[in-house]
Amino acid sequence: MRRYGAVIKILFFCLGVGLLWPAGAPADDFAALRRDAARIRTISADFVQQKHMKILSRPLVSEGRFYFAAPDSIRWEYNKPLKSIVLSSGGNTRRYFFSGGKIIEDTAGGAQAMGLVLAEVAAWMKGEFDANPSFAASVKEGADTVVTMKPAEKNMAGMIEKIEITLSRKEPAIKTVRIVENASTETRINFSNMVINQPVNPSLFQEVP
Amino acid sequence: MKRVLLMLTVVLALSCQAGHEIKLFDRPPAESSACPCPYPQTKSRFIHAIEVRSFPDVKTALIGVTLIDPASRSISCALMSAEGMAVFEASATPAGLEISRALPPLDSQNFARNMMDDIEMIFLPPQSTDIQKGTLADGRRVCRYQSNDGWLDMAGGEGGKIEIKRYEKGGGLKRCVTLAAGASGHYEAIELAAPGIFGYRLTMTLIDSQGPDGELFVPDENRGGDK
Repeated sequence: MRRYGAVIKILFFCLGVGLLWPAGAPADDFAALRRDAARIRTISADFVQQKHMKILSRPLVSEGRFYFAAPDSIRWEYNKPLKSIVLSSGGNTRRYFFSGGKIIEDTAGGAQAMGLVLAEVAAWMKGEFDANPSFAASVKEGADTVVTMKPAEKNMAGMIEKIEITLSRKEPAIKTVRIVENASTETRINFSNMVINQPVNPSLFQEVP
Repeated sequence: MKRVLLMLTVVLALSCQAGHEIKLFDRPPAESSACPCPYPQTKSRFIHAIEVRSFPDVKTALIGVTLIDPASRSISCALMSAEGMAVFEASATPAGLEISRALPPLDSQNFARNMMDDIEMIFLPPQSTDIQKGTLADGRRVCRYQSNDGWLDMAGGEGGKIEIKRYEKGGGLKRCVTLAAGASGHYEAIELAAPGIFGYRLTMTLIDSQGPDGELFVPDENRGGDK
C-alpha cells in the first residue's frame, strides 16, 4: 500500500503543480511561484483523461471535474466511465463510487493513501513545489512551458518514468498533464474551462454527489 | 455488525452452492445437444467497471481491461483505479504466467494466479473433452466438464443468462459466475462469487468491447489531445 500511496502522491503532486503554476512566471523561479500561488483561493476545471496502455487499442477516456479551495479542500470527480469522487478537506479524505444508482463509500484503503497525498497537496498549494525531494524538475520554454519531473526515489523505478506538465504562457491555465509510467503506459489529462478565484460552494468538499 | 458479516458470508457461501447433482440424459435430445457457448471466437478486448466486495467489509471499484485470444488461449489483463493508475498488469498463456506490474496489496503470486483462473473461466471455453449432459434438480439443462481437479457446470438461466460453476474434486463450490445476456453479448454484465470466509464478489459492467484489430498500441503520433 505504501508504494501505491507513493504513486498516487506523484499523480496529485503533478496535478497540484500543474494547476497552480502561474502563466508567465519565470519557470525556474520557485520564489515567484510561491508568491503567485498564495493568491489562488479557488480553482474549478473540467478535465478529460486519456489512458494509454499496451493492452488497449485506443485510449480509455475518462471525464470529470476538479475543484480546489484554499487552504486544503479538494474534490476530484470522475463522471465517466466509472463515476467516482474523492473528497478531501481538513485532513479527512473519503472516496466514493456509484453502484446501481447508489453512492457507496470505498473502504479498500485507497482513501487513506490519498489522504496522505492530499495533505501534501495542501503544502503544494502554498507553492512549496521545490521543497519535495521526490522529484528532480526541469523546464523547457517554448510556445508553451513544459515542466518535466522525474522521480528521484529509487522505489519509483519502473512505476513512474516522468511527468510532463504543459503550461500556457498566454493565460493563467495549465493545458495538459502527462504521466508516463513506462514506454507503453501513460495518462494524459487535458484541462479546460478553468475558473480561478470564483466562489465555490463549500458543500462540494463535504458531500456527494 | 459481526452478525451482518456472518450472514453475508453464509449467503455468499450458499448462494451458488445447492444442487450440483445432475440427472444424466440416457440419450440427449437433439435440442439439448449444444452446450452454452458465450465465449468470443476471435481475439477480443473487454473493458469493465468492476465493483469488488470482499471480507470483512471491503467495497471498492476498479476498471478492468481483458484481452483474450481464444486461438492461443492467451489472456492479458490490467486493473486500474478510477483515477487511471494501473495497479495490476499480467498475461497468461498455456506456457505460464507473467506479471508485469503488481502494486500492493495485489502483488502476491496467489492473487495473480486466481485472477487469471477467474478470467479463463469467464472468457475461454473449457478444455475438457469429458462432457456429461443432463438436468439439474431445478430442471435446467447442464453441461458438465470433468477435469483432473474437479468439474465445471454450465447451465442456461432465465432471460438468456448463463451460469458457470466450478467445483473442486470433493464437490465444494469454488466459483460461481453468471453472465447476463445483453445487447452487447454475454459479457455486458458479469457476476462472480467466490464463496467462503475470505470470499469475494465481483460485479462487472461492460464499458467497452473491441474486436480483433491486430494493433495493440496506438503510436504516439495518432493520439488525441493537445500535442
